Amino acid sequence: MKGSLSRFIAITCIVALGTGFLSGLLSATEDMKNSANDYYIKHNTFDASVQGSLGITGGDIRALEDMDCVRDVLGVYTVDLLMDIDGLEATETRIIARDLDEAVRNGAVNRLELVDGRMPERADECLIEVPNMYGIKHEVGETLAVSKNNDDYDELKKDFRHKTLTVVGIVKSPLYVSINGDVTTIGSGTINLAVYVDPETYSTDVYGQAYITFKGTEKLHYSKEPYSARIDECRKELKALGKERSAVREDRVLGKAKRQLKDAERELASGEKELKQELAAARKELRDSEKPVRAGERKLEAAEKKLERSRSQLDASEKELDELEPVISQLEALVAAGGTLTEEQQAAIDRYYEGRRQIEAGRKEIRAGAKEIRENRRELEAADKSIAEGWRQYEKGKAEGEAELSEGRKDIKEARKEIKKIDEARWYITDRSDNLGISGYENDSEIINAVAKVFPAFFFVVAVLVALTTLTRMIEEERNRIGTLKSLGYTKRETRSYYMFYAFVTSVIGCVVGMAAGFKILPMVISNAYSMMYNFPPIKAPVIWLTAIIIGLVTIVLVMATAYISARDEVNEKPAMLLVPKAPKPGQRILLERIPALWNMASFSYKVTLRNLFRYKKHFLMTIIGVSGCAALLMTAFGLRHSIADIVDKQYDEINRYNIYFEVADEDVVTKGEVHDVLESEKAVEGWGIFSEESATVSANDVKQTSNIMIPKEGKELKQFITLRERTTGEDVAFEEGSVVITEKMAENLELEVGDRIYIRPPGNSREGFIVAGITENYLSPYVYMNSDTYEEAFDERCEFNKVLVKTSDSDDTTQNNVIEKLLKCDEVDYAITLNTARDSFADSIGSIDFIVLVITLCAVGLAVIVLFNMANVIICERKKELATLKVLGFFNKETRAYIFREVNILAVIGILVGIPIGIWLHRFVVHTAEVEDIMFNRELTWLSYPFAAVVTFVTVFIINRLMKREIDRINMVESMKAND
Amino acid sequence: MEYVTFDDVCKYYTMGDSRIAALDGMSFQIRKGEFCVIVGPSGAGKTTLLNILGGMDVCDEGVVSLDGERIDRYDEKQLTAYRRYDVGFVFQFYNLVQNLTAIENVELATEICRDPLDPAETLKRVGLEHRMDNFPAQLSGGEQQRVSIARALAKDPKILLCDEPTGALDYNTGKQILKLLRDTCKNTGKNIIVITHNQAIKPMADRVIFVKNGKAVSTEINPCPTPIEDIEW
Repeated sequence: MKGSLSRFIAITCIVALGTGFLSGLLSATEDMKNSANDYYIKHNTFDASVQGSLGITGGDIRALEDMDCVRDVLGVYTVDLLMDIDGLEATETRIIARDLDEAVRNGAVNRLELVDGRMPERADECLIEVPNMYGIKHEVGETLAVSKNNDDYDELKKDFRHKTLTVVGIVKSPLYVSINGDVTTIGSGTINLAVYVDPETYSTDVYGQAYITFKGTEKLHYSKEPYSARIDECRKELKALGKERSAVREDRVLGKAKRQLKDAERELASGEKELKQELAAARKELRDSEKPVRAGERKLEAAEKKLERSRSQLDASEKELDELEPVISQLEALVAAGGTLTEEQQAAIDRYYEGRRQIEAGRKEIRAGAKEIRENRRELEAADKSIAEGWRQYEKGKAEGEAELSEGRKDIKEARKEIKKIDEARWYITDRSDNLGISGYENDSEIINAVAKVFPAFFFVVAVLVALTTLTRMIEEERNRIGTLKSLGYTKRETRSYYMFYAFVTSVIGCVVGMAAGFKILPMVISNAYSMMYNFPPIKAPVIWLTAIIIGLVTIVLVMATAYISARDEVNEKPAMLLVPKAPKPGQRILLERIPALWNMASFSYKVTLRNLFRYKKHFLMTIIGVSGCAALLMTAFGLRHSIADIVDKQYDEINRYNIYFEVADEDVVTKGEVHDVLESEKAVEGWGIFSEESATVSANDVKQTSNIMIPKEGKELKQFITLRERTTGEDVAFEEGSVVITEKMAENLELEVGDRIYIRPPGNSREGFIVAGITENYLSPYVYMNSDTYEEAFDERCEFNKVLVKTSDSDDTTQNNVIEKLLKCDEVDYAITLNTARDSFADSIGSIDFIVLVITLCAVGLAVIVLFNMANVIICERKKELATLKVLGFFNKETRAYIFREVNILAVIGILVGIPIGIWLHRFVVHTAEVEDIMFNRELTWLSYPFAAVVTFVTVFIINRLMKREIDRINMVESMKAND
Repeated sequence: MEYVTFDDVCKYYTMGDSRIAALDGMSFQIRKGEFCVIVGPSGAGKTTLLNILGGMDVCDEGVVSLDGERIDRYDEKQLTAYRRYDVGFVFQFYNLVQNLTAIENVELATEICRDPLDPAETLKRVGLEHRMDNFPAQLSGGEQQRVSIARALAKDPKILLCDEPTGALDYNTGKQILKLLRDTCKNTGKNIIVITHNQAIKPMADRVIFVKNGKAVSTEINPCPTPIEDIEW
């Protein structure tokens, strides 16, 4: 019975391993989905969500509530903003305002579950959602304040009734199950904290979003067909209502805006007219006051002229008189000498003097006239000045009026633009599958399903082969017993039933043990690994009876069928024949002997081994499949670990050539001032570059995803910070004027190749197409790289250079932290992050893969152990007599063992060789299946997995050989005396 | 000159509480070059005797020697070497390795010997020169036993132990095998010990040892053995 114990163990174990692995992998996905579903149902998770381009009004909510298909509606006020949280400045935060007392009540849509702290009692208290950003944990007692870094700080300030909020509790909700935050338009583009407040604390005119549950979805499983069918149905109705309500909303908002615009236009027109009139009046007045002045001037000029004229007359008369003077003097001298003068002469002298007198009088008159003119002129000049001043006043008034008007015109233009912008009121309807966390979890759990499809196949084939060889051997050994039974008159069926029963018992025990472990342990291990990324309650791992029964039935039927086939020959034989020992299996020449060149090279002992190998085809097949499966699984497990762990080094050492990044309000902060000085003076800083980074929706070939757009300020600088290269060839990817380079995984998702067109839509902008100029190696986040000119030309919007990448001389933490500390001392820098942090946290999070690798490794080794143990056991039993004979012939123990081990070892080598291509294929398959949307793993299979698989397999073989050694040594030489068995 | 000596050899087996003596003070001698037949009924201790003489088992008491060597004092390793170099064994059921051809079965033994005979030559001597490349399954029982004998002979051992060599063969074939053994003894001068319950073949031996209840009850010496062809049973 000793031999039968190892037989029993072999069959039970392989059945347990096979069914355990299969049930575990099959139920893991189911378990994960079911526990997610329980969670969604428990929290009354939304079926659909509506956001309006113009918000959701109370009327909209009422209309939704009135719909036939709607069970419940929840309107929330919501805003994304930057918040300062206890020293951590400008955290991207989403505020969700809803009635918090209502929110924790059973049956509330997206019910919150308090997991720590208490509910808010005052309006300046709030709750936060559990999943936090990598590495940064938020706690009860922290205070949040609206950050000054918000563009619309003043407006936000008005919406908040309190300056700071205090975290008093931590809640769980189905909205944020992933530790990866939602996409937003602020800050780095990802929400890092979700905060719940009462509408008393924050509210706006309209709701930001409405969450809806539909009738008839309460009991449906979210990942099954009836649910999605129901959602499609209801979404259609929702869409119709959306059109209707949007029209109403548009009318109201647009009507109001248009009225405002019209008023403004009217005002402007009347303003224009008024100004014109005023200006005209002023002009007239000025002109009127100018007239008398001009007349006075003219008069004055005439008077001056007259004066001039009389002056010249006077001068002429004086000249005449001067000419007369000598004559008069002579005459007077004559008179003095006593002469007498004629009458005429006397008359002339008199006239002369009369003339002089007249001139004198004339001059006096002219002087008076000139004086008068001077006075008049002064008067006129004063009047002139005041008129000029009037004109100046007039011009000034005119300019002012014009400016005011153009200001008004500009405002109107702006308002028109605004109206154009809001001209479309739309409802955006989403459902659970659009929720980042929910859909991410769904995808990740599907990965396990994909893996589950391949792995257990090995185990099933091997289980059947193990059962076949073991049972065949058992039945051969018990030939005599069968013969006895049959000769005693037992029927075929009765004889057979013993073996069928044996197969039944072993496979049932194997199934029970295997599935008890499989349904519990494997899903636990897997979900434990995923719990690092998703915030779900611990998984329930129930035995899924339908799966269990199917696996059980298939396994039991297979093993029993094997027993039936094994027993067929013996059971059908005549009892007399059975009582005679069975003729040993005849020897045969093998194919290799036909090639004497090769065959003669082999030593004698190897010839024996080779013949034996091909003599027992079942053993051969079983061992090769088992060992190759083991080797392939080991290669896959080890390779998978490497493929995932390796991307950290590739991404952070080879692709990203910078070490630190920080964000700034605008580029001026970096090009001069404090920050600039730090960057320039710090020795550890080797270089820095200014970039623009924002998230955008990219699409092509009907596939859509989110990506980051990265734009260097200086196009040439990009490659200094980020390596652009083709992954397989390592060739440089060109980045020139107009080039658009995208990352590899994204190209794959969008089915893009170089030369294809990719569509990019930044938030709040239009969708534009670009030709892909290059595809570059990248592992973690998707990126589109382009030049600022390309961007600005396409989107008609200036790039905001908000990100600075810094390259340091050393990548150790001390150097990094030193630089970061100095940067943070600058007022303009709110945070600066070393890639070491991201690197470490990512490395931590993929640590979960070690679990899965360990499980696969153990299963693989278990598979090899069972198969090799079984095979060694069977050949030892079968060749007991042969081995005993060898001992009698004087083979030393070592030589006798070698006779068996050579065979095991050669089979192991062949198994490993066969396993290698399978391993390569399996690794590729698993890596491909395991990649989630944005992450690309290293598809290369590390060369280390070859020695790893080989060494682990050989160690297993070695251990089996050690175990078998005793068995061989214990064979009694007396066995050789016995008749054939 | 005594070649093989058994002197007061005892071997006990424990069956439950009772101790059974398989050999109970067995003593006999065989001279060099003799063809010796050991006969006795079932359970007389023939097989135990063979096992101890063949180095497959050790005795509990007494002295066993071959060619002056004390076999009873050998340890495990020495016993293996003894089987390897000094003993040739012919089994009742031939014990050929099914997966090896006739000549390969012989080679299996010569591979591990110091000065083996040529396998092909040996096979020729047992009359199987045409069957050398056949697998055991393709050979008749007699032919298989010849291979077995060739395998034992090729090692060039000191003695040849044959355990019921004709037990699984028909009358005529059995006779031929016995003739072969007898001839071998004559031609090579090797000691051949045949263990059998068939009393009829006694006349062909040089020495016949009767075994009963674990003791050698008597020894007969035939000065001129009868040729096998003249013996009928």
